Amino acid sequence: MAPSSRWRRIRRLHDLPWAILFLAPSFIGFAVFTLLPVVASLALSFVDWNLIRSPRYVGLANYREALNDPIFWKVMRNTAYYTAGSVPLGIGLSLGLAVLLNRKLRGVEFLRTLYFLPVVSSTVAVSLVWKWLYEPNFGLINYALSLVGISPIGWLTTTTWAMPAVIILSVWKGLGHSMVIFLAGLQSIPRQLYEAAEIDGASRWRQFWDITRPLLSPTTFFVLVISIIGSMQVFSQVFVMTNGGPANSTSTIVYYIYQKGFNEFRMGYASTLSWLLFAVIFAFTLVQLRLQRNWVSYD
Amino acid sequence: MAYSSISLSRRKALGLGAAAVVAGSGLTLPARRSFAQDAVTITWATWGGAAQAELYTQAIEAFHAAQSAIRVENVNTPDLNAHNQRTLTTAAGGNPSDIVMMPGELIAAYAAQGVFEPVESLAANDSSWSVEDYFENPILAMTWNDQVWGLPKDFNTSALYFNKGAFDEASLAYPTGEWKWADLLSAAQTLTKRDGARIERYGWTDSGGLSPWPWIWQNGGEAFDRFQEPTQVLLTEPVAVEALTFYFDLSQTHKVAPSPAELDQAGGRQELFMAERVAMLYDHRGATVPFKQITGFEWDIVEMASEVERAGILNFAGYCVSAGSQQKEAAWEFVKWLTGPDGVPIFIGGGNALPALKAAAELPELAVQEPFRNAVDYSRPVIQTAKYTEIAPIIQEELEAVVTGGTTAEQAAADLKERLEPIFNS
Repeated sequence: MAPSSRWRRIRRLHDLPWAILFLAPSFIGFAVFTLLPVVASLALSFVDWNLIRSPRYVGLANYREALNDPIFWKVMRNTAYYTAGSVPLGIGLSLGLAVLLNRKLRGVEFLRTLYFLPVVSSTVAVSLVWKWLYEPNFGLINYALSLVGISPIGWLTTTTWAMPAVIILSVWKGLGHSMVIFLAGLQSIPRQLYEAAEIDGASRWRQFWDITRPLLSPTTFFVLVISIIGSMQVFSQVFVMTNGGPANSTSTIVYYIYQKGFNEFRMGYASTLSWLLFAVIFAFTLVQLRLQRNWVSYD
Repeated sequence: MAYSSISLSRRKALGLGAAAVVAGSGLTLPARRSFAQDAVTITWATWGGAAQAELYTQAIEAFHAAQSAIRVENVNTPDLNAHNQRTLTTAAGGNPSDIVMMPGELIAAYAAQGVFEPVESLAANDSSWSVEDYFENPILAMTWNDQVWGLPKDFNTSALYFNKGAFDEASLAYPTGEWKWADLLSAAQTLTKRDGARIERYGWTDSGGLSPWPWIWQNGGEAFDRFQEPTQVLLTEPVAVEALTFYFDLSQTHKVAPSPAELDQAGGRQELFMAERVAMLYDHRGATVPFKQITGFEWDIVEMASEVERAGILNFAGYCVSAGSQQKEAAWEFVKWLTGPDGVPIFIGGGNALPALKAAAELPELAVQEPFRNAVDYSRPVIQTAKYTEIAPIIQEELEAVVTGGTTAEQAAADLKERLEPIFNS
């Protein structure tokens, strides 16, 4: 072996304990607070356990029960509805905002901060405020609608409007987060490309379609993936504003997991639902990774 | 400069100065309660807001003043749901509170899981206590599987609160205890104030919009074949369907009552009444506590309307000793005191509920308004089952579907029968 490679090998072995030492706190935290609970949850999904009595092994009974549970399918449909509503709307609006705020204008930093404020606000506090805004008889939203001749809408009190109401709140709250990511993506696109396009006479829309859209596609893909994952785990807004109602119309999968685990104390079944959710999110992400070859450009 | 080298006179001056500041500010240091050397400490888990928490503190102070062998620490959770979750998780973790205050409908569910110690074993050698000291219905409500699982804290019956000003404004005679459903509906329709499509004031509401049980009983029907561990759902009987239809039509068809979602959004039924956004409220005696603060209008109470017969819901809560408690004897002593002639007045004195203790019912200072007192004779709890946590969400879902127009009362009754009976009989 050449002396320099031997020296590198010795050096690596010498550094190994230090590497382990510096990585240990992070890894121990990950193991104790993430890995261990995940493994425990997988084990729990095969038992019937109500916290008090000893867990009782039931094999795949929980999984069979979930797949035959009409409420499970209802909450999955609700979650799909929420995702289909909030993700495209959220991405479209935040991209539009990012494009508008990606200019050197007076006060643009203030506007960027303003749009980011809901992101850093407490979801519970924001949900409580929006609950009051949505009040059918005296809420501000219905009052504003009445000024343009629209009759009061039962935002959180009717099955038709309850989920759209939750979607609107979620989109408003998450707008700033995606906007900031898009802004970073937009600012990495070389200015020269736009200048060249301008010289060639390309319109704003043409520039957006032929330059911004393809070069922003990696960022768009990232936002799409995290938005879908996040939307499938929606909980706080539902818990505060509607408690899954009216008539389970806003009950999502994570809220259902909470109900099963902490209201009915069926920890085994709740763990099963968690793993089914994981499987769905995993499958969705794999599909997106596959499809991204068709539209995401990393050049 | 080291502290020890500061002159004594300067230290004295600092100490005296600090004492002067404390004395001048009006602050008082809490008196140190002296307990016996072998005093035990027990924990008492409760739920409730600030007003309730104050009552628990008063009870503890009074108990401490009466004896020195037991020190009580209160663990209060504002939210009932969070309190229930805490009860189970601490029991599962092997560290339960010694005494737990429990809502009546959950006692069977938790007793079935071995969370509580039956009273029979606690009082086995205690001749100072007798179940005969309490009214029958509250004790029955604390009973499951032929065992009593705790002592009743108090109980509540419901009556009809009404806004006198709203009745005067509409030139309506005040409600009487002889009202039938038609009278209630007619008054509610007159009292409901609308501004276009917006409802400024509802005519009537109840505790949550999903409590049809007293209406079914008033119409001569039953919800289940029996109170404890039912096996059959009787909601599909014609008299029950008729009652369900009338009840839900109040919010659904006649729109004189808010839906549960509207109630929740408005902040609750008592807040609605105090803000004069509902003219009549069917609620328990506890509502008189906040209503005493009302200054903008006059209100009164009357027995609720009935139909075929009088009926109402009996709400209750109790104190249970945890099966995992390491201080069961001390916990039992405190529970007896809480539900005895010394503890009961602390909670009942404010008009919060009705005493479950027979002796307390005789005390003039705990006089109960006539409508609530009369309701004791015909009020009962809804259900006592170990499967309550399983059936409660199903009942809520089916009844909510009626309120939101997703189904009819008749269909909801049929669906409840189909979904609940297998659970009851499993």
